[in-house]
Amino acid sequence: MSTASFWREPRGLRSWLLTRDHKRIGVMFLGAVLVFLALGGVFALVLRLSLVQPGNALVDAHTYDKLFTHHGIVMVWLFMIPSIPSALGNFLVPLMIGARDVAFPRLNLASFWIFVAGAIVVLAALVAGGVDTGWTFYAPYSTTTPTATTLAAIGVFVTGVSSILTGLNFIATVHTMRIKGLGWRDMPLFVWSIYGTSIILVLATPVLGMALLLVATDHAYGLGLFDPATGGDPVLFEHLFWFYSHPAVYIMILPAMGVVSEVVSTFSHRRPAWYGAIVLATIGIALVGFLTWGHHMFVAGMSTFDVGMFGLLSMLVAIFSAIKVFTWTATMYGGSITIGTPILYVFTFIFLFVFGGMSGVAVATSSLDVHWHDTYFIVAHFHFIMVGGTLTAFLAALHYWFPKLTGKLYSETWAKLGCAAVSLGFILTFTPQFLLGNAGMPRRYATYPEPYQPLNVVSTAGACLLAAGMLLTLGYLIVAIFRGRPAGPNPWRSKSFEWRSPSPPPHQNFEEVPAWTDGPYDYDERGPDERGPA
Amino acid sequence: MNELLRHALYLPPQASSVSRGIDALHYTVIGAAFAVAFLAFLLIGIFLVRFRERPGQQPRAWQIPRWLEIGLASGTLAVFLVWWIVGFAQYRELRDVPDGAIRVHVVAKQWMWQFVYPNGANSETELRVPVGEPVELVLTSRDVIHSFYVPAFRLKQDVVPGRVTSMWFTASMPGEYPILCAEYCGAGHSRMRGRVIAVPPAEYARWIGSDTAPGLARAGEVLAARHGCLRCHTTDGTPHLGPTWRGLYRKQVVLANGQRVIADDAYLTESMMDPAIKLVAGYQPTMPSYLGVVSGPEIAAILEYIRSLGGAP
Repeated sequence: MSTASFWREPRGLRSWLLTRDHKRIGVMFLGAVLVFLALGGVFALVLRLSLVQPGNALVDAHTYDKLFTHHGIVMVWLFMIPSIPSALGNFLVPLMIGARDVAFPRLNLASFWIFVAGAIVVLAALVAGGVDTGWTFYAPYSTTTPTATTLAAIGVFVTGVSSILTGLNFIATVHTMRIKGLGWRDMPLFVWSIYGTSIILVLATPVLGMALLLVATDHAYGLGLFDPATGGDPVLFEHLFWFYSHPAVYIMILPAMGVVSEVVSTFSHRRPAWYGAIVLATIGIALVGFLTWGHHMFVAGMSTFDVGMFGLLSMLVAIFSAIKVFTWTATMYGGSITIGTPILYVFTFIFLFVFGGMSGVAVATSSLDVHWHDTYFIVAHFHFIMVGGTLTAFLAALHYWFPKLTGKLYSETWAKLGCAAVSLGFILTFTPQFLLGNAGMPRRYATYPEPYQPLNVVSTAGACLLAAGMLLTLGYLIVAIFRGRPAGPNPWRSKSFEWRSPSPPPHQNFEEVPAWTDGPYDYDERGPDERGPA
Repeated sequence: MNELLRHALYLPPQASSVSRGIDALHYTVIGAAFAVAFLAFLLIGIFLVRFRERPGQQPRAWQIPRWLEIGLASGTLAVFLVWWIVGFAQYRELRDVPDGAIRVHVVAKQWMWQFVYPNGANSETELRVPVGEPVELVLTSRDVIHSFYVPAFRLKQDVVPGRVTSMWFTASMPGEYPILCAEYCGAGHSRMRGRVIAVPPAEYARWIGSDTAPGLARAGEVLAARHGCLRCHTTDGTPHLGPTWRGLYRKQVVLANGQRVIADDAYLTESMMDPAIKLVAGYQPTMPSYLGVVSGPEIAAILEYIRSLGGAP
């Protein structure tokens, strides 16, 4: 049996482009999402620089509108949605359940190329005049603007097909490909989180596709479903859009939570505290998350009763997130904790998650939302919880599984420096935005009244630090790929299944069909009554 | 204390009857967020020191006792529910327009605000209101979605084309307060600004002139005649080609499809724009659409005229 790593065998460009190996598809997804992360980041940096002083310092209002739209579309659909599930999930899920591959390898490859096709259409829209609707595509602005709404909507629609196929594939894989003896109650929590995410991908994405196609038809042919001039209703679009886009927040954050559960457990060298509660919370978020979309529309003219009900359901979904924070903290209790870059990123994640989550509860409180709605407070809130959560968990995952992926170790010193820059940069960028929202600065503002300037300057300084941190991270990781020390199969001394094959794994994942007698969290723990050396 | 927190959180002045209550809830929720974060990181810090890896140390097989986890979860839920109850009670107060409020019609368009007062007076950009008296805004848009936002009042309402939305406020102190558009509406979004000028009631009365209510309604009557509304709608209670306007305002009407709706501003506006959608039972769909024919201020005047013909309270 060949033990050459999946990077080397089989050889040739063709063997990569047409591969059915989940690891290679994961790597290709990873490459793609990193490119889009950089692109979306450049858009964001231009936006921040332009906001350094009032009066359209760098770009005019129309260009600004396109840039924030491009930033949103690229970051949401081309980076965050596929970041952890399609890239890392693809690479890890089969390894974590002892499978050779996903259930439908060909479909997996199709999913990648459909994603690429969708991304190219989106990029074409950005080049062909750009889009100025905001990533939310609110009608009737989106249906009447002369910019490339139709093309952008079609591009996002196509990437949605990729999301659905990936989701289906994961569901089938988790149900049918688990190694003998690996029951639902023993599954790694990351796999559970990908499973929950996949349910949302399959159920919610079709609604987005439908809504976007309707917008495209309105825009291209004047169908007029959302245009009051022809008897349509713009608020209908808001309902359809948020029916997808609220659950989409959980598409981004559930895999992030899965990463955090794994990293906390590995670096504490003990089993997750109350595994059952984490699983329950994962599935709870996936399902209750479907019933909260109306909280995006508290000032849209919805009935008072609806506002009350959506507010109440939003409070329920927040509880599941709170349970997660309790269990992560409790997992560290009684552990044997080592410090490495992945868990440092997890601490940043928890910081952002607590403040992002609590500000989420705050904006779910209907009377408070009336002031904050569509202001920078909302921008800060969702950047903390959704973007910051996904980004820090993605970076934690990248650093945690980097040895698995490449077989190399990166420089811990540089990595800690990078983590500090990214974390401080992120917090410095978005904390002032909470205050700007309090002060009443609406979002999507190309320029602003004078008094808002000082906080905007601080925010832009933070964005520069964040960008520097990201560049540094890219730099030392590339160096590590070529010059890093060999990692060995299991540098973190984890018990999880993916570390039981060589790093990087061979084409067939495991050298021999694994026979696992212990679970992914069976650390060498002493029982509650034993007295160990304190 | 209120002033200290308000400044620390960069909140604007509290210039409406509801802003102090909303801010008090704001302080509570944000305070709790800091408390939770402090507690979580205190615990994480303690665990990091206490349970750091040392030679010969074994991790412990400790599980959170079920009572603790359930206690924490339900305690958190209880706190969230209290915020929900208080917040929703405040929200309902924001929605319920007090009796006798001064009605001002607001028309938004790219990229300006237009106000029509009860006596038919118009203004752009500046909304002049009396301090201490409730003011109801009846809002609609001529193009895309906008959002009427006065940070100092802690109030905001989306302004949707083809629909009428409403909000109300009582300015609590004299002054000028910025109006911003909070819903992205195109290249001029960030410059679509205006201001509320809150003045003492006596000054407002002088400004608006003594002849209030009949003004706008009278203008509406002239417009209704000019646009031909009165050829089919009577004002004396007798049905004609269309339902009579006498006593119609806010009355419940039965539609051709059996549904019942309240003939409020939103319904009446919709019926002018798209008469066939919610046809009243017993009438033919012969009315043409007045979309693009009557302007926002004209609609406001006609609505005011219909209101002056009586109806449900």
